[in-house]
Amino acid sequence: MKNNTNKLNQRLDLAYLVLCCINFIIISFISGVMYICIQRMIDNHSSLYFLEKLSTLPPSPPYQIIVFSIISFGILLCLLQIKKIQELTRFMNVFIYITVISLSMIIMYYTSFANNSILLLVMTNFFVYARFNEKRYLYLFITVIIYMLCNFNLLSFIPMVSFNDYTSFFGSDTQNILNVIMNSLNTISIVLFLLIMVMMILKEVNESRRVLQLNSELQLLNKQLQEYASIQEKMGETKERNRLAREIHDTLGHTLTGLSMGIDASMMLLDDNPEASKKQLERLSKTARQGLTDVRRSVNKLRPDALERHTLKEAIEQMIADFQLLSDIEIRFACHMPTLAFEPDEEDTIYRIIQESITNSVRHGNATKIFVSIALDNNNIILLIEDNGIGSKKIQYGFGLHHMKERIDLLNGTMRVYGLDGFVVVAEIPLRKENMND
Amino acid sequence: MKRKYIISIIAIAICLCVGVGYAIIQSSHKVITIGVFAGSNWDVPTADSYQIVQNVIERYEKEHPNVRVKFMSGIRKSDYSEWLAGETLNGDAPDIFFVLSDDFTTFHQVGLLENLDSYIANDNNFDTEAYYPSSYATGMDNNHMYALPYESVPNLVFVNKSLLEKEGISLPNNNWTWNDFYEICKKVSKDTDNDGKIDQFGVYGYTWEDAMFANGIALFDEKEDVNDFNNTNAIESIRFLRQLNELNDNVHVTSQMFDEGNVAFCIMPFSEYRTYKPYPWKVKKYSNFEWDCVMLPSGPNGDNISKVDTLLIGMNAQSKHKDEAWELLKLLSYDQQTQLEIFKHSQGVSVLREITKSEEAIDIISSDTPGDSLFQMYLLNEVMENGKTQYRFKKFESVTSLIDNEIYRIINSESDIKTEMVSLQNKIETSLKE
Repeated sequence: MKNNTNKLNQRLDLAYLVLCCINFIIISFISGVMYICIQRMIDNHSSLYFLEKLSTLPPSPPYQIIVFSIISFGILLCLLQIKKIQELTRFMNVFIYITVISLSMIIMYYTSFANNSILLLVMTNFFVYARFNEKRYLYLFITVIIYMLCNFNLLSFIPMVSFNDYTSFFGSDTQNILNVIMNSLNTISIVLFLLIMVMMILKEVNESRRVLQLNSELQLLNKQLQEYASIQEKMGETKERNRLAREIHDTLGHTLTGLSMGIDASMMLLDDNPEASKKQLERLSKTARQGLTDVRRSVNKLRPDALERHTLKEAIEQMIADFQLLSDIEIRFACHMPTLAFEPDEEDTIYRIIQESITNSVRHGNATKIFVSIALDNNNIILLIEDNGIGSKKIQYGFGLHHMKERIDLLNGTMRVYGLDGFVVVAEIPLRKENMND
Repeated sequence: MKRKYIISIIAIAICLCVGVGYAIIQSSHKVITIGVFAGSNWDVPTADSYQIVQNVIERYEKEHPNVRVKFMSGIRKSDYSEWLAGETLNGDAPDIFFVLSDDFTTFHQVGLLENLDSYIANDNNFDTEAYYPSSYATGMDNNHMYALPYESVPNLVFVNKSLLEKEGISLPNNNWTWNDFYEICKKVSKDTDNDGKIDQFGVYGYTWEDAMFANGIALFDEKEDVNDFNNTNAIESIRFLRQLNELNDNVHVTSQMFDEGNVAFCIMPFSEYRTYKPYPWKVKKYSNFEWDCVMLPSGPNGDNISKVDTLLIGMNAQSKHKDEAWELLKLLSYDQQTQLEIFKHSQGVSVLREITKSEEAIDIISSDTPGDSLFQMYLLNEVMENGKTQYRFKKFESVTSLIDNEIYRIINSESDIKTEMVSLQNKIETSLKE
């Protein structure tokens, strides 16, 4: 596809070059024919007869017409080349455009407006080689109007010596041949111009088709990515469930089996040998406690990954950083305590509440700024999460908020939410005794 | 960066120096060119055709030491228009040049001739009243002046004195009318050798233009290009021409018949009179009869009016030294000394009233004409004052040749003149619109 565009660009350049050459040939042809006509007229003593038919003099002597029009054409080509290869300011663009149009007018004036295809060249240049921010259609429009006006038949009210006036000197046969050559050159330049325009359209179509294709590819990839993500999630869930099942089976199952069998045994021993039963119960109690420790350990294993690997503070910062990486939201985290070291369940709760609140702010509140702070006040951890989102006049407790509240209730804490100015979550969690001793 | 600046400043300085130097050299050595032809404008032999121009150049260069005047010699009158047109197309047209009256429209139409109005208005030493109106009007179009008159030639009637004497008719005076004219023509038109064919005629070369001018009609003017052909004066003129023609009894009168002494009157320009009257041309051409000239006869509604032809000089609109060119133009057209030299070295009449009236001019002409001419030279002034110039326009040639043919047909036929004139008027208008 890209290769195609390159090929088109090369062809466009080639067509433009040919158009330049055709214009050069046209200008040389017209001025040359004029020169030869006048020289022949003077040699054949028919210049008076020629003058009698005219209503004005030719703009310049014939050799001057050749020199001036070719020099003007050279300057015009240079300016067009500058326009083609250089990125120019708008002012420079307008300046070059005006100069180029004036030069075209001078050339056309010298060549009796016999051919206006030089304007096609200007049009091509300003349309094809326009930068993306240029008003190419404005240039095209103005040039087309000038093109239509600069037609000898239309300009007949201005006294001029027409190309036909010159060629009529040769007699009708030669005049016809010259006119055929002239018209062919003109047709070639118009066809070239149309060809260039068609190539331009092809190029544009190509480009937009490429963009469309890329877009659909991107959408496909996006869809695949989403599928992968959901599979991943499901796999994670299954894995987690399996782990949970294994843990329960391995620890609780084992302990409970042991406990139930031990209790059965002690029930039988209770009447015959209360002493032995007591011993048995003691062992059972030990096993039960051991089981509890095991359960605790298992629960520990279910903690969030981040908290397993980092401290709470690091984990929160990591989470915030990840969030900011994924979105434009500005999240500020202020911690008013030197260290954040609590019991694992407390840490879990704090982590989950912050996570859930940020998610809510983004998902429901369309917030762009979120402020998170943790502080300690009278042995209560105060957790504050505010955002600048739309808030909520009437707060409905969905699953997320319920879950948060349950978690806090488990720790004997309280939670309040306000939705009038953004969304604010205030959670208060009392520290447990063990910690206070630290 | 600094070096670049210095280099560009030096380059600009050099360009300026060269430009200023070139301008100074140009202004100190101005060259003006004049377009002149050899021979007389009036197609009569002449000895020293460049004499007047050379004298003028000498005087001009003395007055303007920094200007040189050049001209190319050796261009014959017959080649002159073509040469001038070629130079014009090549962009080499001279700064000032003589304009034949036939070419004025062509060169004016293409814009080669500078509009002289502003020069005339700004020049305190220039008075248009000094010129004869008909001469002055020749270089005019739409009340704008494009060329100054140089010399004029009025038409006169040449009379074969010997023939009139033989027939016992006295020479007509200068106030004669169509009636006198017709009576004489009628008397002299006869078959002298009794072979059944008329061999002695009244007039040769009396054209419809002469007849119309004589009856107070100017056929073309600047506004309408063509005036009524079917008004009573015009019809009267044509009727008179038909009457004259009827006297010839279908014999075609030629100039050779006049030369052989068989025609009483011939309409000729004054230049012919000037050239052929003095020796030796007189001997060569009109040796077998005595002749003189009188003013043209007047029609019932007109005057003794002559057609005046004028040689013009114009300024190139593309000239680079227009002020200098204007001075030279004035020296040729308006200067008394130059205009007096026209009588000495050329065959025309000065376009300045003062000069044509002056004793010196009359002396010069009279000294040329030995013998007993009845044409008193002071009448030349009157002829010039009354003279009319045919207004010319782009299609003048084709229209006049159309009228020539049509009128020749009308006067040779029996058809109703009024009807014919109405149809001629239509034909002219169609031809002008084409």
